[in-house]
Amino acid sequence: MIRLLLPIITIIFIISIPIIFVKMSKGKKRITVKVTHWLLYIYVGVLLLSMCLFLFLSNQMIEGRERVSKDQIHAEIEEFHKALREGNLEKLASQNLLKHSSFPYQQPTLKINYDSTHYSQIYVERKTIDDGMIDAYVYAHGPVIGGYVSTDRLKPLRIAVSDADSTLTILSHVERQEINVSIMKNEFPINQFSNQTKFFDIELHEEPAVYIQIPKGVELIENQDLDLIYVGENS
Amino acid sequence: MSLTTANPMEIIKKQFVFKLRANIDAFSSLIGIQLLGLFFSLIGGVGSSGSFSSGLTIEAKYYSADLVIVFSIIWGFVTAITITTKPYRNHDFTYITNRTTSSVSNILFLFASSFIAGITAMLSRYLLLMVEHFFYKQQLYGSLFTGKEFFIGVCVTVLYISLASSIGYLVGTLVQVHKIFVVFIPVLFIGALILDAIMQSEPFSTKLFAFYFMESNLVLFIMKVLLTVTLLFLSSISLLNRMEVRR
Repeated sequence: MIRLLLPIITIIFIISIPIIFVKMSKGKKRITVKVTHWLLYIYVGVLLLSMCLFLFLSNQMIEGRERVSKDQIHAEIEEFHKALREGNLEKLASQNLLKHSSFPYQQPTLKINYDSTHYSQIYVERKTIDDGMIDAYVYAHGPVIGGYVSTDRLKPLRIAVSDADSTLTILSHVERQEINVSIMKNEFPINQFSNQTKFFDIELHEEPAVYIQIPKGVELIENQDLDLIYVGENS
Repeated sequence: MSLTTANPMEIIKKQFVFKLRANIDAFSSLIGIQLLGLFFSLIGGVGSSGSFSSGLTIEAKYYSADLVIVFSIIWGFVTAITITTKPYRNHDFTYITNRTTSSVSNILFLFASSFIAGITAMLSRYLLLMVEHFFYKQQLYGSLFTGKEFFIGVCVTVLYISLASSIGYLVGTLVQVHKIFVVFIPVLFIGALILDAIMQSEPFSTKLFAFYFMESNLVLFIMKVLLTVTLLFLSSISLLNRMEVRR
């Protein structure tokens, strides 16, 4: 309600200007209303109506997202990778998880392949139990567009497990992903006195990270093309 | 001989009201210029950025009422020059007046028009949002506009338009004093740019721009603008007072 107060006061103030104007010319010959007057009244009326509509429809029109600073983004990314390296998945926010897949797996060995032209970080954690399941998580932080974290706009990587080949393959998307975003920014008279920068460049971060949990008894076969990050192990 | 003592405040008030009515067509040009600014803002946004990497293309378009505000500032500058021209100055002879009351009523008119232009320019952001949402079906990223931000935006926009108006009024006054200023002022401006380029120093216009547009303290900014506007208008008044009656 407090948020509506100032705009309402502004509307009342603007409407009162012609009323005061008419009162000032009271008793005198009224002005001849020209086309220009109508044009002005209609224009101001449309603007005020737009403002009123916005106040009621703002939640539908604007996708409310928190705006983060560059320092905040770098700190969050650092925390994101640290949590993955240490295997602290509970520290990661729910919006960082793009996909979780579980695959039954009974083979004694596993080779991880990556079918893509671009490289994602792959974390591997050996479970403490032999539950016969491979859990694959796709995590991401970003991209950050205009200061707004847009992780949910990313399509997750596809993961396929083959019992026959004893392989887990991380597949890239068939088509190139495009993200188009429209951002409503504050005007320069406002930005001049706030701490926000006039423009915030896109921060395109790394490819989504893949976190794989393998059963205790499964032996990983080295893939020279991949640089795996082992969680909780020295190598 | 009239025994009635003319009250300058009454005269200024009557002239101000008269000029608001007589110069109402200036507001139709304001509407046109703001709608033009809105149109340009809609077709391409006020800015865009993009990023391309393997597998992912990102394009972001930015929307705001920046263009509308800039166009309104230009409108303020041109309107101020226009009201110093002879046809507009001849309107003053309808009333009992002198140069000072005429100038003061002109200045009041410019303040009033700056106020209207500033408010409508800031409100145009909502019209932009409406068109984006209802006609272009765009979902916009953004944070909600607070009342404080809106108030600051209106105040600062009004101040910028007033500043442009005061500069325009002084330019128009100088031209009325002597026609040589029609050539002299642009030559001075462009000559300063060229000289700064030759001397490889920062252009004076850039320093002037930074003096106002890079000021991040609101109170200091208001003081700078008000002082500048006061000096410019006072200069214009003193110049016009020296002019002959019907010139």
